[in-house]
Amino acid sequence: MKRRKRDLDRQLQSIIDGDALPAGQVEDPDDVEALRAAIALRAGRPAADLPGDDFLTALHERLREEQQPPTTRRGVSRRALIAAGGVAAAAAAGVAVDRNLLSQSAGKSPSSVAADLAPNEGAWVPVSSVSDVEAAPQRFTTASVVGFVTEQQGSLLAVSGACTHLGCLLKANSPAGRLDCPCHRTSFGFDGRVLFSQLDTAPAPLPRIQARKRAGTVEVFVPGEA
Amino acid sequence: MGDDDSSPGPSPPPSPRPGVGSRLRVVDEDHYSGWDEIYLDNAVRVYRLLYSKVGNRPDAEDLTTEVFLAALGPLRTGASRGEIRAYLATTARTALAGYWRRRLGTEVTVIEVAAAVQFLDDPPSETQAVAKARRVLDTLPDRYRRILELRFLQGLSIKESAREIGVSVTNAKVLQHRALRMAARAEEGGRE
Repeated sequence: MKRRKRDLDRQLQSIIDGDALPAGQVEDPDDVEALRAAIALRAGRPAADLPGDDFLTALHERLREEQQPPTTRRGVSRRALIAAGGVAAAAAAGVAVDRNLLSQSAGKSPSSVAADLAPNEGAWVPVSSVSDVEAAPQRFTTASVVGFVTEQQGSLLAVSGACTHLGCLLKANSPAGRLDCPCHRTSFGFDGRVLFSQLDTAPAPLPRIQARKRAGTVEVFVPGEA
Repeated sequence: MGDDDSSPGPSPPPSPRPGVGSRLRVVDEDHYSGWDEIYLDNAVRVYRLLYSKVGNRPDAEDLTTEVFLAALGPLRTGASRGEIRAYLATTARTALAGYWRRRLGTEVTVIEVAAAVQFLDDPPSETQAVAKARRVLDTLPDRYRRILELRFLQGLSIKESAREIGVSVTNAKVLQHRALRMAARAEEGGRE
């Protein structure tokens, strides 16, 4: 009870200060009401709701950059492209997009950049059959890696199966189309994006693993299994 | 505004209408010529819509970024202005819902698409949010109104506000919570 009030005080103070709202859990309808009123009041300061020119210009630039065809985007990493593709796909599917992932090129949270798991010395290891993967997301384990492989719009997608926060092994939640961490309320998409997280700083997206089809089997490229 | 020229005759040449306070250049009434125009015409509108729902700049900026990046791929620039605004409103609703779910586990504010489209089409003047806050405050008993003015409009600390009103800090907190709840109800009742 005390803690709840302290949380609410903290949130109200951040609204007054104009800071980003601190993460927390709000359940009491009275608290929700109080926050809603506080937001409306704070927005009632003169000219409070006008965006800064710096922000508008930076976002404009960013959108221009995102529109460049890949060949002219030498300065933009493949990872950014993957992220942008993920955003578009998420929007098409009406899924919430992770804000930390989106703000990555604003340089806010470098850890939110999805890395590719590309071992120095690796080998293609069969992990499932094409038909199984087509039917449902498949979990796989090799001597060095745990992961999930899915097929989305005709292409294979494999990601690490360990949460990027503390390494807990993720569980597939197929009906919801996501991977849930059993440790802290955090979920990833099958493409590795963070869908939501209770953590103040969302963990990095899941590393991607190269995958391919070979003679009816699905193979992933993982560190040498010798 | 004020285009009441209804003289008959051959169809008038398309007149480019200047957008409200923006660098907008619309090719014809209902279509944009490309992404730049979509952005220039809608960025401030989308930001203000989201700001009115979260009440702080950093989150409003993140959400605006999210909406435009998400819209960039699937949105056909050949779509009409109405379609584009409807899409932006829908994307904003999804973004806001996700924001609340992640941030507090509950939706404190929501975007209704029809109302949001109206907001984007005809953004309220800068003084409207101020007037709305004023209206809500004016329905409250004196001390309730006072604490909220000091805290939310003038930005005084709880300590300073308590001193100003002449109560203890604890009482100021209680006053603030009660006042906020009453304001929430007043706002609810006054919603168009």
